[in-house]
Amino acid sequence: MATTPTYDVIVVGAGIVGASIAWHASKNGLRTAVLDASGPAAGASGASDGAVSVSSKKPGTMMELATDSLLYCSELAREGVLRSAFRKRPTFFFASTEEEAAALDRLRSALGEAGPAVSVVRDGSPDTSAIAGIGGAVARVVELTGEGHMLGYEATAAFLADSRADRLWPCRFHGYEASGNDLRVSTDLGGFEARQLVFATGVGTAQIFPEIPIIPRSGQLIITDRTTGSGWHDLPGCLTSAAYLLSKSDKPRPLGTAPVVIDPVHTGQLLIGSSREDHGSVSQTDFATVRQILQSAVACLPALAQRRVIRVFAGLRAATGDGYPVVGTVAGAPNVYLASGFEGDGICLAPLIGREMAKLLSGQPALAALDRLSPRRFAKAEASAR
Amino acid sequence: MKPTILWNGREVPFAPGETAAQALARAGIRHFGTSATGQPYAVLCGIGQCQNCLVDVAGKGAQEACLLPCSAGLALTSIQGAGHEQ
Amino acid sequence: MSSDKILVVGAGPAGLRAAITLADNGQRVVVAEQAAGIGGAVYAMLRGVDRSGKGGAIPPEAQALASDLAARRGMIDIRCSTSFAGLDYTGAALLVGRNGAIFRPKAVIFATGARELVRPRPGWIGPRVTTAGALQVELKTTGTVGQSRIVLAGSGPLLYAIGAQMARAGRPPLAILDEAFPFRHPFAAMGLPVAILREAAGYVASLWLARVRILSGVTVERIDHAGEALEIRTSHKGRFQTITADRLALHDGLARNDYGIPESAAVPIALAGDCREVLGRWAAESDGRRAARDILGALGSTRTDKPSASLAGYASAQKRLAVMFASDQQDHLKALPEDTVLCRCENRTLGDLRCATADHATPRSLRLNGRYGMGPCQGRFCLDWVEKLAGEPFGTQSTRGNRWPLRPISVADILAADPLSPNPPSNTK
Repeated sequence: MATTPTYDVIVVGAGIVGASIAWHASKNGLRTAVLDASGPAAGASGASDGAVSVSSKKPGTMMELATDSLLYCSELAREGVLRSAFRKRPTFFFASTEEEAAALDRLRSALGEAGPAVSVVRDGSPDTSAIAGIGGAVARVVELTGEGHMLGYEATAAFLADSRADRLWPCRFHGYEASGNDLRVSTDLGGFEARQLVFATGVGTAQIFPEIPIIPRSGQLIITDRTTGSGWHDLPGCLTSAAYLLSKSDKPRPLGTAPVVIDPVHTGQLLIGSSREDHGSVSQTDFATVRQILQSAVACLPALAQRRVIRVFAGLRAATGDGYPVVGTVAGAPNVYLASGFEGDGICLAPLIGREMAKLLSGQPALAALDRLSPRRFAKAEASAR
Repeated sequence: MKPTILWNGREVPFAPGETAAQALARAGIRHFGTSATGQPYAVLCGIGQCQNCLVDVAGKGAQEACLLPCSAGLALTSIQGAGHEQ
Repeated sequence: MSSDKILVVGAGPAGLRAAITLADNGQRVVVAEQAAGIGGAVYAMLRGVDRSGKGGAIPPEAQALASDLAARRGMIDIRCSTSFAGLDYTGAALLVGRNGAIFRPKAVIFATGARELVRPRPGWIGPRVTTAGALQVELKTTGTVGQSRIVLAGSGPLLYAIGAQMARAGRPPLAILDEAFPFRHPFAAMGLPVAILREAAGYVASLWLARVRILSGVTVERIDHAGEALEIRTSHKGRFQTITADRLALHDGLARNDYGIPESAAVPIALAGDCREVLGRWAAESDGRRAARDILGALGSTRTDKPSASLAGYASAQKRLAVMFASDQQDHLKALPEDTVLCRCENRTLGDLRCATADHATPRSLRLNGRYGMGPCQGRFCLDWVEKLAGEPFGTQSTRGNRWPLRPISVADILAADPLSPNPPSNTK
C-alpha cells in the first residue's frame, strides 16, 4: 500500500496551466504535487502555436487579463524561469477587405483602452510595412509591439524544472472525496490526502465535471522545415489575418475559410494555422483543411510557397459554451478549483493564472476580473433552467 | 555538347536520367552547403529519406539533390544556414 | 466519393507484382514511385540511366517484371518522379511531383522497401560518408562509383553484395570492414535456401577475384575528415589501425519501414515486401502477390490466381543471416563518446540524450524538449538508437513519423496537387 503524504495542493494536469500553478504554489510555500495521466504537455500545450498576445483576445475581461499576463510573463522572462521560453517579437495584422479593415480599427481602440503593454508601431499600406513580399490582395498592415511567443512545451518544462513540486506521472486520476476538511484523492499511484485540489485538465475536465460545458475544439497546425532557399526573407514577427478578429467579437460570425496566422519559431521554422473543428479528435488532419490554410497563407505571403512542410498535427483546445475560461472554485466545494476552458488562450494566460491561483490557494484575494470566469456561472444557469 | 545544369553559376554536365546529386558527384562536388544547425549538406542515404542533401532550386526552394532529376539549365545554389539559434 | 483505383506506393518488385496481380483481377491501379524510373533499390538498373551496363546486367526476374508490367499498361498507371506524401483521416491520398494528385483510393498497398539502419559513429557527418544503400543506388543507376578508395563498414549481407557488384563493375572497394564474423557460422550458412547460397557464392567469388580485403570483427571507432580524404580509425581485438580512404559507406542492417502508414485508416491497407518484413528480394514478388490477394479479399472481390508461395523459408533464412552477421549494437552504442551526434537533423548528441532522459522525462518530452524525431527526417536515422540507449520507457513507437507528410514537401506542391476528385487525372506520359 502506497504511503500517503499530505499536500497542501495537488494539481491535476501537467500542461502549461498546471505547471504554472504548481510553480507559483510551491513558490508560495505550499507543499505541492502535480500529476498527469501521461506527462508534461501531453495535450494542447504540446500541440499549439504559442502566441502570447493581447490583440487576439476578446475586448473586455479577456484583453485585460491578457495584458496583465503579458507584462507578468515578460517579468518572469527577465527574472528567470521563462527566460529561454518567452521571446518578444512584433505582431503584424493584415487586412484584405473592408470588413477586416474595420476590425483593425476596432482593435486599435480596444488596445488603446487596454493600456501601454501593447502599442501600434505602424499602420498603413503593405509597402510601408516591415514585411518584405507581402501579397497583392493585402491592403493594410498594422504592426504591434509588446507581444511575444512561447512554445507551450518549453514553458511547461521550464516551470516544472524550476519548481519544488512533486511530479507524479504517468499517473491517472481516479476520483476524490471529502475527508474531513481535506480531500482524499485516488490515483494510479495510490491515495493522497490534500488540503486543496486544482484541475488544470483541459479537455479532460468534461469527464470529471460534466456540468461544466467543455467543448473540445480541434485546430490543425502546419510546421515547416528550418531550411530556406535564397528567395526567403525572414519574417520579423507573427503575421495574422484580421479575419481572425472577426471570430473574437461579441457576436462570433461563421467564417468560410479559416483565418490564417503565420508565426516564426525561434528555430527558424514557421507555424501556420489554424482551423476550428468541434469533432474532438486529436489525430485528425486532412488535406482539404490544410490546403485551405496554406492557400490563405500563400495569398498573404507568396514566398511561403517555397517553404517545405515537415509535419501537420492537430491540438485540442478546451472551449466553453460562452467563450470564457473557467477559473475558480466549483459549486459546493470551496477547496476544489478549476482552471480550464482556455481555448487557445492558455499559453498567454498561464503565467497570470498560476500567480492568481497561488494566491487563492494561500487564502489571499485574487484579481477581481477573475470573478467573471467563475465555474459557478454554469451552476446558476443550470439552476435557472430548471 | 553535353547538356548542363548550373551549380552556383558554374556549368555542370549531366547524363540523361541522372539526378542532381549524381551529376554534381561526377564533377567532384559532394559538399552542397551548410544547415542552420551547422551540419554539412551532402548525400547520406541517396533515397530522399535523410534530408541531408538539400540544395536550393532557383524559384522553388530546398529540394533533395538525390531525387532531383537533371534538366538543361536547372539552376542550383548551395544553402547556407541562416545561423538560427537551436 | 471513393475512387475505383487502388494505390500502390513504390515500384520495386513487391509493388510491381502487387500491381500486376491486382490488374489481373480486373482492378485499376495507380503506382507512385519517387525515383525517375521503376525497379526500386534492388532492380535500380531498370531505370535505364546506366548506358554502360556495368551497374549490373538486368536479372531475368527484373526483365520479367518489366514485361509483365508493360503488358498491363492499360490497367496500371505508373507515375515516376511522383512521391506519396500521406494518407489523411478521410482516406485521401496525396501524391506530389511530376504527376501529383489528391484522390481517395479504394485501397492502398505500401511497398516502399526496407529502412537502412546506420549507427552513429564519431565523425560520421560529412560529404564522404554515406550509407551502403546510397553507394548501391549510384552503382546500379550510373554504372560506376565516383571515387577510388572506398571502404564498406558495418555488418550485414548487403556489404558483400555491394562490394561484389562494385568489383564486377571494375571498381572494387578498398576493404570490407565487418563488425561480425559471418565466416565462423558455416552451419548457419549451409541451411540457407539454394538461391541465396548461389548468389552469396557468386559474391564471395567476385570479391576474391578482385582481391578485396575482408576483415571480420572490426569496428570503425572514428572518422576524421582530413582535407581531401578520410582517416578511418578502426579497432580489432583492442588493436587500432587507421585506413585512408576517399569514401566510407556504412551499413548496420535493414528494418521494416512503416513510416507514413496511418494508425487507423479509412481504407484497407496492406504492406508488401521488405517494408513489411525484411525477407530480401527473393520474397518480394511473392509478398506483393499476397498483399494484392489480401486487398482483393478485403474489397470482397473474387480472386482468379493461385495463392503465393509460403514465405516461411525466407523468414528462417533471415534468422540464419542474423546469426551470421550478429553485431552487438547495444555494446557499440554504449561505447560512443558523449559528443557523438545522434540526431543529424537537430544536431543532438549522446550527451544531450542523457539530459533529455533525466528524471521524469517521458517519450513526449524526449521528442518535444529533447528534439529527437522533431526534424525533417522524422527520426528515421536516430530513433532506433535513441530507443536502444534510452531503454524501455522511451519506446518511441508513439513518436515515430506516422503523420503526413512522409517527407518534407513544399507548400507549392501541396497546393499544386489537383483538387480532390474521385479519380486522379490520367497520366498523359
